[in-house]
Amino acid sequence: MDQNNSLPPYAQGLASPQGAMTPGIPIFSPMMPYGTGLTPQPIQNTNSLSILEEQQRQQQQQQQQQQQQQQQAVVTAAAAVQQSTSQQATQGASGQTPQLFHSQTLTTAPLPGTTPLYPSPMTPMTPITPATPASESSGIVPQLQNIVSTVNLGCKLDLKTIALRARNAEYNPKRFAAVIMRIREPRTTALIFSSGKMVCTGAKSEEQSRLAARKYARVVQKLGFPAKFLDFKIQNMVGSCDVKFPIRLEGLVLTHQQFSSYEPELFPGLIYRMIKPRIVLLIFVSGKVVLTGAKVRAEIYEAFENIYPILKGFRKTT
Amino acid sequence: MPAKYVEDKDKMLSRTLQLVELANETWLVTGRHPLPIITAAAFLAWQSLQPSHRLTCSLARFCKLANVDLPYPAASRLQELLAVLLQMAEQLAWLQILKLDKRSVVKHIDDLLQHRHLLIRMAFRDGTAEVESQEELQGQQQEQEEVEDNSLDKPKGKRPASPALLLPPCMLKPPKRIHSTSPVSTVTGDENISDSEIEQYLRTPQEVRDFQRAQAASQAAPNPP
Repeated sequence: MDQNNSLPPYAQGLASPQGAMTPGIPIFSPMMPYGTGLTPQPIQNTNSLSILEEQQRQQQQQQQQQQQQQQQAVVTAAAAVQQSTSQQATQGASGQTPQLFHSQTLTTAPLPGTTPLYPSPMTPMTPITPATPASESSGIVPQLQNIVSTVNLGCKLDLKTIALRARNAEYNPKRFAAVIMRIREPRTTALIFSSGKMVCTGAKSEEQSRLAARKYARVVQKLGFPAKFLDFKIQNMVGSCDVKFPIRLEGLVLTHQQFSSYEPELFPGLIYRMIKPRIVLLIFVSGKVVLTGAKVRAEIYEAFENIYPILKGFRKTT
Repeated sequence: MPAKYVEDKDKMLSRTLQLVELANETWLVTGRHPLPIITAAAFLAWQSLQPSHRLTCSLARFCKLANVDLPYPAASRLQELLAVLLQMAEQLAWLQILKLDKRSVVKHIDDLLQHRHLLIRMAFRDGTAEVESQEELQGQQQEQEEVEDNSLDKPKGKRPASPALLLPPCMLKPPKRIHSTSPVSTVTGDENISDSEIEQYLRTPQEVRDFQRAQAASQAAPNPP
Protein backbone atom coordinates (compact mmCIF):
# COMPACT_ATOMS: atom_id res chain seq x y z
CA MET A 1 0.00 0.00 0.00
CA ASP A 2 1.43 3.28 -0.99
CA GLN A 3 1.23 5.37 2.06
CA ASN A 4 3.33 8.10 0.65
CA ASN A 5 2.30 11.22 -1.14
CA SER A 6 1.42 11.03 -4.77
CA LEU A 7 4.74 12.51 -5.82
CA PRO A 8 7.14 10.00 -7.25
CA PRO A 9 10.06 9.28 -4.94
CA TYR A 10 12.69 11.10 -6.96
CA ALA A 11 10.64 14.28 -6.84
CA GLN A 12 10.96 14.43 -3.11
CA GLY A 13 14.15 16.30 -3.48
CA LEU A 14 15.82 18.46 -0.93
CA ALA A 15 14.60 21.97 -0.52
CA SER A 16 16.58 23.46 -3.34
CA PRO A 17 16.94 27.20 -3.39
CA GLN A 18 15.22 27.25 -6.74
CA GLY A 19 11.99 28.04 -5.01
CA ALA A 20 9.90 25.36 -6.59
CA MET A 21 6.35 25.96 -5.57
CA THR A 22 5.35 22.53 -4.45
CA PRO A 23 2.92 22.22 -1.60
CA GLY A 24 4.60 21.72 1.68
CA ILE A 25 5.25 18.07 2.14
CA PRO A 26 7.43 16.53 4.73
CA ILE A 27 10.49 15.96 2.70
CA PHE A 28 12.39 13.69 4.91
CA SER A 29 10.47 10.65 5.77
CA PRO A 30 12.20 8.38 8.22
CA MET A 31 14.53 6.17 6.32
CA MET A 32 14.31 2.57 7.23
CA PRO A 33 15.82 -0.41 5.57
CA TYR A 34 13.58 -1.76 2.88
CA GLY A 35 11.25 -4.43 4.00
CA THR A 36 9.90 -2.94 7.17
CA GLY A 37 6.92 -1.20 5.78
CA LEU A 38 4.47 0.50 8.04
CA THR A 39 1.49 -1.42 6.81
CA PRO A 40 -0.39 -2.29 9.95
CA GLN A 41 -0.11 -5.92 10.73
CA PRO A 42 -3.48 -7.63 11.00
CA ILE A 43 -2.21 -9.59 13.97
CA GLN A 44 -3.23 -7.12 16.59
CA ASN A 45 -6.77 -6.10 16.04
CA THR A 46 -7.15 -3.75 18.94
CA ASN A 47 -6.52 -0.29 17.64
CA SER A 48 -4.85 0.70 20.76
CA LEU A 49 -1.66 2.40 21.65
CA SER A 50 0.09 -0.86 21.09
CA ILE A 51 0.27 -0.83 17.29
CA LEU A 52 1.77 2.57 17.04
CA GLU A 53 4.06 1.87 19.92
CA GLU A 54 5.13 -1.40 18.35
CA GLN A 55 5.99 0.26 15.10
CA GLN A 56 7.82 3.01 16.88
CA ARG A 57 9.77 0.51 18.90
CA GLN A 58 10.79 -1.21 15.69
CA GLN A 59 11.89 2.05 14.21
CA GLN A 60 13.75 2.98 17.33
CA GLN A 61 15.61 -0.30 17.39
CA GLN A 62 16.66 0.06 13.82
CA GLN A 63 17.61 3.65 14.28
CA GLN A 64 19.61 2.79 17.35
CA GLN A 65 21.46 0.14 15.40
CA GLN A 66 22.32 2.71 12.79
CA GLN A 67 23.45 5.15 15.43
CA GLN A 68 26.05 2.73 16.62
CA GLN A 69 27.73 2.54 13.27
CA GLN A 70 30.12 5.15 11.98
CA GLN A 71 28.94 7.50 9.30
CA GLN A 72 31.31 5.92 6.84
CA ALA A 73 30.15 2.47 7.73
CA VAL A 74 26.60 3.43 7.07
CA VAL A 75 27.50 4.83 3.69
CA THR A 76 29.18 1.69 2.57
CA ALA A 77 27.06 -0.90 4.25
CA ALA A 78 23.59 0.50 3.81
CA ALA A 79 21.20 0.25 0.93
CA ALA A 80 21.18 2.72 -1.95
CA VAL A 81 18.48 4.66 -0.18
CA GLN A 82 20.56 5.29 2.87
CA GLN A 83 23.59 5.95 0.73
CA SER A 84 21.98 8.83 -0.99
CA THR A 85 20.83 10.49 2.19
CA SER A 86 24.11 10.05 4.00
CA GLN A 87 25.97 11.44 1.00
CA GLN A 88 23.87 14.49 1.33
CA ALA A 89 24.60 14.55 5.01
CA THR A 90 28.34 14.58 4.44
CA GLN A 91 28.00 17.15 1.73
CA GLY A 92 26.73 19.69 4.16
CA ALA A 93 29.45 22.19 4.86
CA SER A 94 29.32 21.96 8.58
CA GLY A 95 28.41 19.07 10.77
CA GLN A 96 24.86 20.25 10.90
CA THR A 97 22.72 20.22 7.87
CA PRO A 98 19.38 20.86 9.37
CA GLN A 99 17.92 20.40 5.92
CA LEU A 100 18.35 16.70 6.44
CA PHE A 101 16.21 16.38 9.37
CA HIS A 102 15.93 12.84 9.86
CA SER A 103 18.84 10.69 9.03
CA GLN A 104 20.21 9.07 12.11
CA THR A 105 23.70 9.62 10.80
CA LEU A 106 23.25 13.15 12.03
CA THR A 107 22.88 12.26 15.66
CA THR A 108 26.19 13.90 16.34
CA ALA A 109 24.70 17.20 15.27
CA PRO A 110 23.57 19.10 18.33
CA LEU A 111 19.98 19.43 17.30
CA PRO A 112 18.15 19.28 20.57
CA GLY A 113 15.60 16.58 20.94
CA THR A 114 16.34 14.78 17.73
CA THR A 115 14.86 11.54 18.83
CA PRO A 116 12.90 9.00 16.88
CA LEU A 117 10.35 10.41 14.57
CA TYR A 118 6.78 10.00 14.25
CA PRO A 119 5.71 7.16 12.08
CA SER A 120 5.10 8.57 8.67
CA PRO A 121 4.82 6.74 5.42
CA MET A 122 8.08 5.76 3.85
CA THR A 123 8.93 4.34 0.50
CA PRO A 124 12.12 2.86 -0.79
CA MET A 125 13.66 5.77 -2.61
CA THR A 126 15.95 5.91 -5.56
CA PRO A 127 19.01 8.09 -5.05
CA ILE A 128 17.93 11.69 -4.83
CA THR A 129 19.70 14.38 -6.79
CA PRO A 130 21.72 16.20 -4.17
CA ALA A 131 20.73 19.80 -3.73
CA THR A 132 23.28 22.57 -3.91
CA PRO A 133 24.93 22.51 -0.50
CA ALA A 134 24.25 25.50 1.71
CA SER A 135 27.06 28.00 1.51
CA GLU A 136 27.36 27.99 5.25
CA SER A 137 25.04 26.85 7.95
CA SER A 138 23.80 29.63 10.18
CA GLY A 139 24.86 27.85 13.33
CA ILE A 140 21.61 28.90 14.95
CA VAL A 141 19.02 26.27 15.75
CA PRO A 142 15.41 27.33 16.21
CA GLN A 143 13.98 26.17 19.52
CA LEU A 144 10.56 24.58 19.48
CA GLN A 145 8.13 26.48 21.68
CA ASN A 146 4.78 24.85 21.09
CA ILE A 147 3.38 21.70 19.53
CA VAL A 148 -0.31 21.22 18.78
CA SER A 149 -1.49 17.68 18.22
CA THR A 150 -4.76 15.84 17.93
CA VAL A 151 -5.81 12.34 18.81
CA ASN A 152 -9.04 10.40 18.62
CA LEU A 153 -10.03 8.63 21.81
CA GLY A 154 -12.48 6.56 19.83
CA CYS A 155 -15.55 6.77 22.04
CA LYS A 156 -18.21 9.28 22.96
CA LEU A 157 -17.50 11.11 26.18
CA ASP A 158 -19.73 12.61 28.84
CA LEU A 159 -18.09 15.94 29.51
CA LYS A 160 -20.12 16.62 32.65
CA THR A 161 -18.84 13.45 34.25
CA ILE A 162 -15.28 14.23 33.29
CA ALA A 163 -15.52 17.75 34.69
CA LEU A 164 -17.05 16.42 37.87
CA ARG A 165 -14.61 13.65 38.57
CA ALA A 166 -11.32 15.12 37.36
CA ARG A 167 -9.40 17.63 39.44
CA ASN A 168 -7.63 19.34 36.60
CA ALA A 169 -10.62 19.94 34.35
CA GLU A 170 -12.72 22.99 33.63
CA TYR A 171 -15.95 22.87 31.69
CA ASN A 172 -18.18 25.80 30.87
CA PRO A 173 -20.62 24.63 28.21
CA LYS A 174 -22.00 28.12 27.68
CA ARG A 175 -18.59 29.41 26.78
CA PHE A 176 -16.99 26.49 24.98
CA ALA A 177 -18.21 23.02 24.20
CA ALA A 178 -15.18 21.13 25.49
CA VAL A 179 -13.47 20.22 28.73
CA ILE A 180 -10.17 22.02 29.27
CA MET A 181 -7.79 19.74 31.10
CA ARG A 182 -4.23 20.43 32.23
CA ILE A 183 -1.40 18.26 33.43
CA ARG A 184 1.82 19.32 35.04
CA GLU A 185 4.32 17.09 33.37
CA PRO A 186 4.76 17.69 30.45
CA ARG A 187 3.12 21.03 31.07
CA THR A 188 0.30 20.99 28.54
CA THR A 189 -3.37 21.76 28.05
CA ALA A 190 -5.92 19.54 26.34
CA LEU A 191 -9.32 20.29 24.86
CA ILE A 192 -11.50 17.21 25.12
CA PHE A 193 -14.66 17.14 23.05
CA SER A 194 -17.72 15.00 23.51
CA SER A 195 -17.10 13.26 20.20
CA GLY A 196 -13.99 11.73 21.71
CA LYS A 197 -11.54 13.90 19.82
CA MET A 198 -8.86 15.71 21.73
CA VAL A 199 -6.44 18.55 21.04
CA CYS A 200 -3.21 18.72 23.04
CA THR A 201 -1.24 21.97 23.14
CA GLY A 202 1.77 23.42 24.90
CA ALA A 203 4.39 20.69 24.59
CA LYS A 204 7.93 21.60 23.60
CA SER A 205 8.71 18.53 21.52
CA GLU A 206 6.92 15.88 19.50
CA GLU A 207 7.67 13.18 22.03
CA GLN A 208 6.43 15.30 24.91
CA SER A 209 3.25 16.02 23.00
CA ARG A 210 2.68 12.33 22.47
CA LEU A 211 3.40 11.50 26.08
CA ALA A 212 1.06 14.21 27.27
CA ALA A 213 -1.71 13.03 24.94
CA ARG A 214 -1.29 9.51 26.28
CA LYS A 215 -1.58 10.79 29.83
CA TYR A 216 -4.80 12.61 29.05
CA ALA A 217 -6.12 9.45 27.41
CA ARG A 218 -5.22 7.51 30.54
CA VAL A 219 -7.05 10.01 32.72
CA VAL A 220 -10.14 9.62 30.57
CA GLN A 221 -9.71 5.86 30.71
CA LYS A 222 -9.55 5.92 34.47
CA LEU A 223 -12.72 7.93 34.56
CA GLY A 224 -14.42 4.90 33.09
CA PHE A 225 -14.52 5.56 29.36
CA PRO A 226 -13.16 3.00 26.87
CA ALA A 227 -10.59 5.45 25.54
CA LYS A 228 -8.19 4.37 22.81
CA PHE A 229 -5.35 6.25 21.17
CA LEU A 230 -6.13 6.53 17.49
CA ASP A 231 -4.59 8.69 14.77
CA PHE A 232 -2.26 10.74 16.88
CA LYS A 233 -1.05 13.53 14.63
CA ILE A 234 1.04 16.61 15.09
CA GLN A 235 -0.90 19.47 13.55
CA ASN A 236 1.33 22.45 14.15
CA MET A 237 4.79 23.23 15.44
CA VAL A 238 6.06 26.65 16.50
CA GLY A 239 9.73 27.51 16.82
CA SER A 240 11.65 30.66 17.57
CA CYS A 241 15.20 31.92 17.37
CA ASP A 242 17.32 35.04 17.33
CA VAL A 243 19.67 36.07 14.57
CA LYS A 244 21.16 38.70 16.88
CA PHE A 245 21.27 41.61 14.47
CA PRO A 246 18.63 44.25 13.66
CA ILE A 247 16.67 43.87 10.42
CA ARG A 248 15.39 46.59 8.11
CA LEU A 249 11.86 45.31 7.71
CA GLU A 250 10.97 48.09 5.26
CA GLY A 251 13.73 46.93 2.96
CA LEU A 252 12.75 43.31 3.27
CA VAL A 253 9.15 43.99 2.34
CA LEU A 254 10.30 45.85 -0.76
CA THR A 255 12.55 43.14 -2.08
CA HIS A 256 10.37 40.19 -1.13
CA GLN A 257 6.98 41.72 -1.55
CA GLN A 258 5.38 38.60 -2.95
CA PHE A 259 6.07 36.77 0.29
CA SER A 260 6.08 39.55 2.88
CA SER A 261 3.46 41.60 4.61
CA TYR A 262 4.65 44.42 6.84
CA GLU A 263 2.05 46.78 8.34
CA PRO A 264 3.51 48.57 11.35
CA GLU A 265 0.09 50.05 12.08
CA LEU A 266 -1.24 46.56 12.64
CA PHE A 267 1.66 44.51 13.88
CA PRO A 268 5.29 45.38 14.53
CA GLY A 269 6.66 42.29 12.84
CA LEU A 270 6.93 41.34 9.22
CA ILE A 271 4.87 38.29 8.19
CA TYR A 272 6.81 36.22 5.68
CA ARG A 273 4.91 33.39 4.03
CA MET A 274 7.49 31.03 2.69
CA ILE A 275 6.32 28.78 -0.11
CA LYS A 276 8.77 25.98 0.28
CA PRO A 277 8.48 24.75 2.93
CA ARG A 278 5.08 26.18 3.64
CA ILE A 279 5.92 28.03 6.82
CA VAL A 280 4.93 31.43 8.13
CA LEU A 281 7.70 33.44 9.73
CA LEU A 282 7.25 36.47 11.95
CA ILE A 283 10.35 38.59 11.64
CA PHE A 284 10.97 41.42 14.08
CA VAL A 285 13.30 44.39 13.98
CA SER A 286 15.29 43.01 16.91
CA GLY A 287 16.26 39.98 14.88
CA LYS A 288 13.97 37.56 16.63
CA VAL A 289 12.18 35.18 14.31
CA VAL A 290 9.13 33.03 15.04
CA LEU A 291 8.38 30.14 12.69
CA THR A 292 5.04 28.43 12.63
CA GLY A 293 2.88 26.18 10.52
CA ALA A 294 5.17 23.18 10.41
CA LYS A 295 4.01 19.60 10.58
CA VAL A 296 7.50 18.24 11.14
CA ARG A 297 10.58 19.67 12.78
CA ALA A 298 12.56 19.61 9.55
CA GLU A 299 10.31 22.24 8.02
CA ILE A 300 11.16 24.68 10.79
CA TYR A 301 14.88 24.11 10.39
CA GLU A 302 14.68 24.30 6.65
CA ALA A 303 12.63 27.48 6.69
CA PHE A 304 15.13 29.14 8.99
CA GLU A 305 18.08 28.09 6.86
CA ASN A 306 16.25 29.57 3.87
CA ILE A 307 15.52 32.90 5.55
CA TYR A 308 18.87 33.39 7.23
CA PRO A 309 20.82 34.41 4.10
CA ILE A 310 17.99 36.75 3.16
CA LEU A 311 18.10 38.41 6.55
CA LYS A 312 21.86 38.67 6.47
CA GLY A 313 21.45 40.66 3.29
CA PHE A 314 19.66 43.34 5.30
CA ARG A 315 22.23 43.59 8.01
CA LYS A 316 24.22 46.57 6.83
CA THR A 317 22.66 49.85 7.86
CA THR A 318 22.53 52.62 5.28
CA MET B 1 -3.15 81.22 19.66
CA PRO B 2 -0.16 83.32 20.71
CA ALA B 3 1.42 85.14 17.79
CA LYS B 4 4.78 83.49 18.22
CA TYR B 5 3.25 80.07 17.74
CA VAL B 6 2.21 80.61 14.18
CA GLU B 7 4.52 78.92 11.74
CA ASP B 8 5.10 78.79 8.03
CA LYS B 9 3.81 75.56 6.55
CA ASP B 10 6.69 74.86 4.15
CA LYS B 11 9.34 75.31 6.78
CA MET B 12 7.45 73.05 9.12
CA LEU B 13 7.01 70.44 6.45
CA SER B 14 10.62 70.30 5.37
CA ARG B 15 11.98 70.20 8.89
CA THR B 16 9.48 67.57 10.00
CA LEU B 17 10.47 65.46 7.01
CA GLN B 18 14.13 65.77 7.89
CA LEU B 19 13.45 64.70 11.44
CA VAL B 20 11.39 61.71 10.32
CA GLU B 21 14.19 60.68 7.98
CA LEU B 22 16.60 60.99 10.87
CA ALA B 23 14.37 58.79 13.00
CA ASN B 24 14.19 56.26 10.20
CA GLU B 25 17.96 56.08 9.84
CA THR B 26 18.44 55.57 13.56
CA TRP B 27 16.04 52.64 13.87
CA LEU B 28 13.26 54.56 15.60
CA VAL B 29 10.65 53.89 12.92
CA THR B 30 10.83 50.20 12.05
CA GLY B 31 8.09 48.21 13.72
CA ARG B 32 6.39 51.23 15.27
CA HIS B 33 3.12 53.01 14.55
CA PRO B 34 3.98 55.80 12.12
CA LEU B 35 1.67 58.51 13.39
CA PRO B 36 3.22 59.10 16.83
CA ILE B 37 6.62 59.48 15.18
CA ILE B 38 5.24 62.15 12.90
CA THR B 39 3.62 63.90 15.84
CA ALA B 40 6.87 63.96 17.76
CA ALA B 41 8.85 65.09 14.73
CA ALA B 42 6.37 67.86 13.96
CA PHE B 43 6.52 69.09 17.53
CA LEU B 44 10.31 69.16 17.54
CA ALA B 45 10.39 70.86 14.17
CA TRP B 46 7.96 73.50 15.35
CA GLN B 47 9.85 74.09 18.58
CA SER B 48 13.21 74.33 16.87
CA LEU B 49 12.00 77.02 14.45
CA GLN B 50 11.58 79.48 17.33
CA PRO B 51 12.97 77.81 20.42
CA SER B 52 13.11 80.90 22.62
CA HIS B 53 9.34 81.32 22.60
CA ARG B 54 8.25 77.76 22.19
CA LEU B 55 10.29 75.74 24.62
CA THR B 56 7.71 76.34 27.30
CA CYS B 57 4.99 74.68 25.27
CA SER B 58 4.47 71.00 25.99
CA LEU B 59 3.68 68.27 23.50
CA ALA B 60 0.15 67.93 24.84
CA ARG B 61 -0.52 71.66 24.49
CA PHE B 62 0.95 71.66 21.00
CA CYS B 63 -1.46 68.92 19.92
CA LYS B 64 -4.41 70.70 21.48
CA LEU B 65 -3.55 73.94 19.73
CA ALA B 66 -3.17 72.08 16.48
CA ASN B 67 -6.52 70.40 17.07
CA VAL B 68 -4.93 66.98 16.80
CA ASP B 69 -5.14 63.97 19.10
CA LEU B 70 -2.05 63.22 21.11
CA PRO B 71 -1.16 59.59 20.44
CA TYR B 72 0.14 57.80 23.50
CA PRO B 73 3.53 56.67 22.10
CA ALA B 74 4.40 60.16 20.86
CA ALA B 75 5.99 61.16 24.17
CA SER B 76 8.29 58.19 24.10
CA ARG B 77 9.18 58.78 20.44
CA LEU B 78 10.01 62.37 21.36
CA GLN B 79 12.41 61.25 24.06
CA GLU B 80 14.08 58.79 21.71
CA LEU B 81 14.50 61.42 19.04
CA LEU B 82 15.97 63.87 21.54
CA ALA B 83 18.40 61.21 22.72
CA VAL B 84 19.59 60.66 19.15
CA LEU B 85 20.00 64.40 18.64
CA LEU B 86 21.99 64.67 21.85
CA GLN B 87 24.31 61.90 20.72
CA MET B 88 24.82 63.67 17.42
CA ALA B 89 25.51 66.93 19.24
CA GLU B 90 28.35 65.23 21.09
CA GLN B 91 30.22 65.06 17.80
CA LEU B 92 30.27 68.82 17.26
CA ALA B 93 33.03 70.45 19.22
CA TRP B 94 31.24 73.73 19.80
CA LEU B 95 28.20 71.90 21.12
CA GLN B 96 30.17 69.52 23.27
CA ILE B 97 31.34 72.42 25.37
CA LEU B 98 27.79 73.59 25.97
CA LYS B 99 26.85 70.36 27.71
CA LEU B 100 23.40 70.20 26.20
CA ASP B 101 20.41 68.49 27.70
CA LYS B 102 17.17 67.54 26.03
CA ARG B 103 15.75 71.03 26.33
CA SER B 104 18.74 73.02 25.20
CA VAL B 105 19.50 70.78 22.25
CA VAL B 106 16.30 72.03 20.59
CA LYS B 107 17.99 75.33 19.89
CA HIS B 108 20.59 73.56 17.78
CA ILE B 109 18.39 71.19 15.85
CA ASP B 110 18.86 73.38 12.79
CA ASP B 111 22.60 72.78 12.73
CA LEU B 112 22.28 69.14 13.62
CA LEU B 113 19.87 68.49 10.79
CA GLN B 114 22.09 70.27 8.31
CA HIS B 115 24.91 67.87 9.04
CA ARG B 116 22.85 64.90 10.02
CA HIS B 117 24.33 62.33 7.65
CA LEU B 118 27.85 63.02 8.74
CA LEU B 119 26.95 63.23 12.39
CA ILE B 120 25.14 59.91 12.36
CA ARG B 121 28.14 58.19 10.91
CA MET B 122 30.36 59.81 13.49
CA ALA B 123 28.10 59.34 16.44
CA PHE B 124 27.17 55.73 16.06
CA ARG B 125 28.93 52.49 15.48
CA ASP B 126 27.34 50.11 13.08
CA GLY B 127 25.11 48.18 15.43
CA THR B 128 24.61 45.21 13.15
CA ALA B 129 28.26 44.32 12.75
CA GLU B 130 28.99 45.34 16.28
CA VAL B 131 26.49 43.02 17.89
CA GLU B 132 28.21 40.05 16.28
CA SER B 133 31.74 40.94 17.16
CA GLN B 134 30.93 42.05 20.68
CA GLU B 135 30.75 38.52 21.92
CA GLU B 136 34.09 37.54 20.50
CA LEU B 137 36.27 40.56 21.13
CA GLN B 138 36.99 42.41 24.28
CA GLY B 139 38.28 45.82 25.26
CA GLN B 140 41.06 47.15 23.09
CA GLN B 141 40.55 44.68 20.31
CA GLN B 142 37.01 45.91 20.04
CA GLU B 143 38.10 49.50 19.76
CA GLN B 144 40.48 48.59 16.97
CA GLU B 145 37.73 46.84 15.07
CA GLU B 146 35.52 49.89 15.36
CA VAL B 147 38.11 52.12 13.80
CA GLU B 148 38.55 49.69 10.94
CA ASP B 149 34.84 49.30 10.40
CA ASN B 150 34.00 52.96 10.25
CA SER B 151 34.86 54.93 7.21
CA LEU B 152 36.03 57.92 9.20
CA ASP B 153 38.92 58.00 11.55
CA LYS B 154 37.72 59.31 14.85
CA PRO B 155 40.13 60.96 17.22
CA LYS B 156 39.70 58.97 20.37
CA GLY B 157 41.25 61.47 22.70
CA LYS B 158 38.59 64.10 23.08
CA ARG B 159 35.41 62.15 22.86
CA PRO B 160 34.21 61.00 26.21
CA ALA B 161 33.14 57.46 25.44
CA SER B 162 33.16 55.06 22.52
CA PRO B 163 30.31 55.77 20.11
CA ALA B 164 26.93 54.40 20.92
CA LEU B 165 25.53 51.41 19.06
CA LEU B 166 23.10 52.18 16.27
CA LEU B 167 20.40 49.71 17.15
CA PRO B 168 16.64 49.76 17.54
CA PRO B 169 15.68 50.70 21.11
CA CYS B 170 14.31 47.23 21.79
CA MET B 171 17.81 45.83 21.36
CA LEU B 172 19.45 48.50 23.50
CA LYS B 173 17.39 47.83 26.58
CA PRO B 174 18.65 45.04 28.81
CA PRO B 175 16.71 41.81 28.25
CA LYS B 176 13.79 41.42 30.63
CA ARG B 177 14.65 37.87 31.51
CA ILE B 178 17.53 35.63 30.79
CA HIS B 179 16.89 33.62 27.67
CA SER B 180 18.07 30.32 28.96
CA THR B 181 18.04 27.52 26.46
CA SER B 182 15.52 24.94 27.54
CA PRO B 183 17.09 21.76 28.88
CA VAL B 184 17.32 19.01 26.34
CA SER B 185 14.46 16.67 26.99
CA THR B 186 15.02 12.93 26.89
CA VAL B 187 11.37 12.06 26.61
CA THR B 188 10.64 9.31 24.12
CA GLY B 189 6.87 9.53 24.22
CA ASP B 190 6.54 5.86 25.04
CA GLU B 191 7.33 5.96 28.71
CA ASN B 192 5.28 3.98 31.08
CA ILE B 193 2.67 6.10 32.82
CA SER B 194 2.26 5.13 36.42
CA ASP B 195 -1.17 4.80 37.96
CA SER B 196 -0.29 7.06 40.82
CA GLU B 197 0.60 9.84 38.44
CA ILE B 198 -2.80 9.64 36.79
CA GLU B 199 -4.64 9.31 40.05
CA GLN B 200 -3.35 12.65 41.23
CA TYR B 201 -5.62 14.16 38.61
CA LEU B 202 -8.75 12.34 39.75
CA ARG B 203 -11.04 13.45 42.54
CA THR B 204 -11.61 11.12 45.42
CA PRO B 205 -15.23 10.00 45.90
CA GLN B 206 -15.42 12.23 48.94
CA GLU B 207 -14.28 15.22 46.91
CA VAL B 208 -16.84 14.41 44.25
CA ARG B 209 -19.60 14.33 46.83
CA ASP B 210 -18.46 17.59 48.37
CA PHE B 211 -18.24 19.24 45.01
CA GLN B 212 -21.71 18.07 44.01
CA ARG B 213 -23.13 19.29 47.27
CA ALA B 214 -21.50 22.67 46.83
CA GLN B 215 -22.75 22.96 43.30
CA ALA B 216 -26.30 22.06 44.34
CA ALA B 217 -26.17 24.57 47.16
CA SER B 218 -24.98 27.40 44.96
CA GLN B 219 -27.64 26.66 42.37
CA ALA B 220 -30.45 26.22 44.86
CA ALA B 221 -29.84 29.51 46.64
CA PRO B 222 -31.26 32.42 44.68
CA ASN B 223 -28.45 34.46 43.24
CA PRO B 224 -28.24 38.02 44.54
CA PRO B 225 -29.42 40.50 41.91
